[in-house]
This record gives sequence, structure tokens and C-alpha cells, in this order.
Amino acid sequence: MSAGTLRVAAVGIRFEGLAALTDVSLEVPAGQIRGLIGPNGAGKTTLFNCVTGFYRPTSGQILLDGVRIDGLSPHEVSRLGVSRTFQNIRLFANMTAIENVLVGGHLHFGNLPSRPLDARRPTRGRLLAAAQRLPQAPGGAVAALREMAGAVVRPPAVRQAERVAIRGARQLLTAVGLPGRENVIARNLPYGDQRRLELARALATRPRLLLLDEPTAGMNPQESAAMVGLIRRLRDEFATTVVLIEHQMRVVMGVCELISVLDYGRKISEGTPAEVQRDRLVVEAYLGTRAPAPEEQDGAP
Amino acid sequence: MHDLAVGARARLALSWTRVRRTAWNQVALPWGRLRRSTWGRLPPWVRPFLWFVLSLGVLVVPAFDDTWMRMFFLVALYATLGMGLNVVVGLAGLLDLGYVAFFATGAYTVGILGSPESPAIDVQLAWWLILPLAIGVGAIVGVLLGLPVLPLRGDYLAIVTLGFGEIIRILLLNMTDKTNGSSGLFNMPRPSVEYLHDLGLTNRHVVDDVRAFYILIVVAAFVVWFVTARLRDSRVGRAWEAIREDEDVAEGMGINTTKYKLMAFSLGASIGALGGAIYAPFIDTIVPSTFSLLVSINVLALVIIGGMGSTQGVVAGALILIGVPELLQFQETKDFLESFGWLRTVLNAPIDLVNRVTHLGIENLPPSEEWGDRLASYRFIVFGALLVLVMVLRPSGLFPSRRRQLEFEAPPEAERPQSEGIT
Ligand SMILES: Nc1ncnc2c1ncn2[C@@H]1O[C@H](COP(=O)(O)OP(=O)(O)O)[C@@H](O)[C@H]1O
Ligand SMILES: [Mg+2]
Repeated sequence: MSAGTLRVAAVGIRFEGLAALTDVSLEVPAGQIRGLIGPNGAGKTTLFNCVTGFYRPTSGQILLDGVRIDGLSPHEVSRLGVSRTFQNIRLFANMTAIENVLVGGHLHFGNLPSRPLDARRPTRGRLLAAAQRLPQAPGGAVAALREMAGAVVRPPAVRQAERVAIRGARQLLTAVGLPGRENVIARNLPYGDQRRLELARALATRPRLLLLDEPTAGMNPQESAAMVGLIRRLRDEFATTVVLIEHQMRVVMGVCELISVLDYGRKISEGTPAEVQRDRLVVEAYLGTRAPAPEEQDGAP
Repeated sequence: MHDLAVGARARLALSWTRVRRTAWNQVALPWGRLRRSTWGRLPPWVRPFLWFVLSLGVLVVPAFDDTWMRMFFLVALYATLGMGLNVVVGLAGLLDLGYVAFFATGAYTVGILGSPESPAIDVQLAWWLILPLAIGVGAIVGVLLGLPVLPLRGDYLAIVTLGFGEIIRILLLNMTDKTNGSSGLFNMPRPSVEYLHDLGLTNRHVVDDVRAFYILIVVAAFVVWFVTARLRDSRVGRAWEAIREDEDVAEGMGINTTKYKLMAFSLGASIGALGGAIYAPFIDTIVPSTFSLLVSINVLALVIIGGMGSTQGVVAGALILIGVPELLQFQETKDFLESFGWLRTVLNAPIDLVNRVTHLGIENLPPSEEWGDRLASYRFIVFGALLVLVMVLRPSGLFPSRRRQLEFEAPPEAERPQSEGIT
């Protein structure tokens, strides 16, 4: 899979008058670990939602390796290699750990014939886009029928695919530090392990760009340190670009090569950890009267 | 030697069939292995099979008269419908209150294509030829109804599907030139079993009496069970469950949720149509009023009573919801109640006493010969009380699937911060 360069160009989004993001531009080169910081409500999660297709920016463009991805639906963005974790852990709570990872690997299920990636952006309305896809419907129906038939009959190819997927999922669980926890129901895992499982699930989609929304929220310093080490190791092992939202300055300072700072939906600063720390605007945003100090708010959305 | 054994076990543990089983048996038992009963030691595919055979009472076929067989037929029919709806509601988490629409689709496909009275077309096709058509038409209707409504969630989906159930019934009533309206279609084609007859396996030529229909529906139920069970334990089933658990995240993991929801909806629809296609020749006359809201509610209720997502539950739910009201009007029940004549004497004495002391004027109990009829006419009240009882005693259903059980009976989660949008 190719590089994983993210370019956010002058993105803005408004919710009924509230400008959650205004003119935000970012350039994250492939393989970098980028920190995204800012006080609560600054728009960090909203930016992730725009990149992953959950929200549709009202202005601007988002490009992954030069391909426009804004306006695609989340599953299409995921297919193109963007994956994420959530600030409030959102696992498939009643499924087992390994099933969670297997769902993440949905698109890479064994040797299923892979369809060419369709990155065409719907330029007109959704209805029109749907209408344009109508000619593909019969093919889609046949594919769906074949998939169900395969699941019912379980020919050797499907069995083999499942076996490969399970092996891969186990390896991922081991990679994030959850060996032997395959069959634990996700909701029964301890908090820290749930964060790890979310990471494994995100990696199972084979991302070139991994977006982590406060992966150390609610962790003590030791756990945070372990998580940071894990993130760095996974970046190397899986060769992905990482954008990391973080509240605790200490964490970002240690792991991120470059940091971007958001405040009130605008990018107010960008630079190496040392530079950002010295930036008067950043200090003001964090310590000034405009927003509460970052250390006091953890886990809140 | 030891290493070999370990290696073999590890490989086995990886193999397909075992994944689910280990998942199900080791769930929530961090301290070690589940104590296995004889039942638990049976191979994983045998258990549900045995359950199936036992609970549907296949073995008791010759032992009952036609009234009882009719009841068993209905129970098995509703169990089949329940398994179909279970895919939609239990697996994919889509609340469908209009399931009767698909049941009606199947029945009317048989009626229109196979009944000599059908005003729409002149040809009469054989039932076996119509069956795949009915299933296909069901699937297509499922997709057509599903396309516009599946973007809706939760309550909205429930209300819109509720409307569909009614719309189909009204359509059938008003498309007189195709369905004969309220006078309905009759003389349905009978499923031929000529082939089995030639093999000497039966002395019938067509499926025409209750017993034969019962066997037919049990075979259908078995096929449906197999298909749905296999699907549940597959990539497709995992995608459905992921959608049920968290639709946004499922979408974010690359699952085309619209596609998979349509697949679930349409599979459920074709199973409903299959049920309808067998039901039509069974009752022989189909009129729109047969396909009322009550059917949808019954099927949904039996899925919930039984325990969402579990096949045993569906069968048990069908026995209670469909079996009990029928049972309450049987002659046997009346005879049984009649034998309690002494109870009348016992209870009337205190009533007389109370009447003499006060002026309440409480009526004496009627003779026990009438009890059966009274019970039969009050059967839905009895039945409602039974339902309430089940839901109070077992809120997650009679046979909840293990994961469902966790979901309903887990202690309340720590308040999750509620926020708009996706965080
Ligand atoms: N779906 C939405 N509807 C309305 N307002 C939203 C929505 N999503 C986010 N917002 C608003 O956008 C702002 C930024 O929120 P968010 O991105 O979650 O902040 P954070 O930087 O803490 O992650 C907040 O004021 C929030 O209320
Ligand atoms: Mg946030």
C-alpha cells in the first residue's frame, strides 16, 4: 500500500451557525506521527470526523495521497486506507475480542476477489449519486448472493479465507498486547485493554493513515507511557501515518514529530513540540481565561 | 510427542468450526473451563440439531389427531417465520414491524400463479415451480421496501415498516383484478410428491393433509435453520452483528452498511415468503384479512419471548405464542377441565356463604362442562397473562443467546457521556 500522505486544505464545517472548523489546513507526510492538540471543543474530533467521512465539510478539500476523500461515505474512506479509534471507546461491545478484529478485517477477508477501489466523489447530491450507481445494482446483488451462498455452503476457499483471517486477527491481538484474550467479550475487557482492542480493530482495516482520538484518555502516567510506546512501535511495524489527538502535553511531546494546535476551530500553531510549547498563542489557549486547563478535562467528548 | 499434541490442538483451535464454540463456551468464565455436561460434550452441530428435532416433536407425528397436527404445523410455520425475522431483528438489529408483508407476498405469489381462479393470468404453475419464484419475489420485495427505509434508524424504521404491513394488505384488498379482493383466491396448487411416491417412500401423490404439510414445513424450517445458523457464523453474520452493535463504527470499519442491511432485510423477506408459499396450499383459501398486523406482532413477540438471536428460543416462543392459544380450545382441554367438577362444589360453598352474609350476590360457578368453552373464549387474556409472566421472569427471553444475555443482564454501564455527533 502506498504512502499515506494526508492533506487537509482549508476545511471548514458549520453546524447550524456554529463554525466548528474554520479554514483548517494540514499537511501530514507519510510515516509521520502528528500530534493534534487543543482545548476541549476546539474541533479536533470534528476534524477526524471530516477526514473519515462521517461529516461532510462545508468547504475545503481533504486528500489522501492526492485523491480527494471528502464527501465519500465512511466505508469508502475506510476502503481507501483511513482508519480511526474513538474518544469514547466504541467497540462492538457484545462481540468477542477476536470478532471485533475480524470485523475490522472485513474488507481484507482472505482471498476474496478484490474490487477496484472506486474513489469517485459524489459531486452532486446523494440521491443523484445513488442513481448513478444504479447500473451496478445487478452486479451488487449477484455478489451479495454469492457471498451468502459461500457462507452457507462453506466451500474450501471460504474456509481457508476464514482461517487466514482468524490467524491475522490473532497476530494483531498479540501485536497490541492482548494475546490469549480472543474470546473475551469486548465489554468485559478492562479499560486499557479496550483501548488496545480498538487499536487492533483499526489496524485490521490495513490503514495507511491511522487517526487516534485521545488513545490515552483516562489512563495513568504508566499506562499512557506504555500506550505511547505501543503507538510508536505499531507505526513502524505497520508503516502507517499516525495523527494523534491528545490532551496531555507530556504524551504528545514525547511521541510526536510535529504538532498542530487547534483552538475554536482554527489552527493557531504548528511546529516541533519545543516550538509549540513556546508559542504564546498556544500557552494562551491552554492557560488563558478562554478555556480550562487541559489537565483538568479527561474523557469528556 | 507433547509438542505434537500442542501443535495439533493449536491448529484445531484455529479451525473454523471451533471458533464459535470456544467463544461460546469460554465466555465470561475467566477462572477456567466450563463444566461440560453430556449435552455439552456433543459435537457443536449436533446440539442445535437435536434441539430442533426434539422441540418440534417430529417424532410424535403419528400420535396425534388432525387438530393437534394443525397446531404443530402452525407452531413450526411460525418458528420458521421467527427464524427469518430473527436475522433482521436479532442479528442486524433492524426493528421490522411489517413482516407480514413478506408472508403475504409468498402466499399471493402461489395464489396468483397457481390458482385456477386467479384473474390475473391463465397459466397455472406447479407448486414446486412457484416456490423458488415466491422466494425470489419475496427477496425482491424485501429489497424494494428496504431501499427507502433502511437509512432510518430505530423507532422510525419500526413505524415505517409497520405501515408497509398494512399497505400490502390494503393493496391486496384493492387490486381486485389480480387478487379477487376480499373474496380471495382458492384452490391452491398442491405440492406434488410424485417422485417420493415412485420411490415407494409415501403413498400420497400430493401434499394434501395436515400431516404431510407438517412434514413439509419441518423440512423447510430445518433448511432455514441451517442457512441462518451458517450465515450467523460467517463474515456476513459478523457484519450484521457489528451493525447491530454500532452502525457508525461498522461503517467506519469498511462495512457497506446499506448493503448488509439490505441483505438481512431481503433474506428475512424471502424466508417470510417461503412460509407464505407453504401456508397458502395449507389453508387453500387466502384472503387479505389473513395477513393482518397480528401476524407481524406474533412473529416479533415469539422472537423476543424466545430470546433474540437464538433458534431454540424461536421454537420455544412459537410453542408458547402459537401453541398455547390453540391448545386452550382443544376438546382435550375441555375434557380435562370437566374432570374438575368437584372443584365447583368446593368453591360454591363459600360463595353461598358470602352471599348469605353480605348482599354482594356473587354468581355461582358454572358447571364444569362449560369451563372449556369459557377458557377458549378468554384464551387471549390467559395468553397475555402468560406473556407478561415470561417477560417478568425472564426479561431476556426463554433461551437467550449468550451474548444477548450479557447485553440485557449486565449491570448498568457507567454513564457514558452523551454527546451529539460522533466522538
Ligand atoms: N454533530 C454536531 N452537531 C453540532 N455541533 C457539533 C457536532 N459535532 C461537533 N459539534 C461541535 O463542534 C465543536 C467541536 O467539538 P469536538 O470536535 O468534539 O471538540 P474536541 O476538540 O474536544 O474533540 C463543539 O462545540 C461541538 O459542540
Ligand atoms: Mg474530541
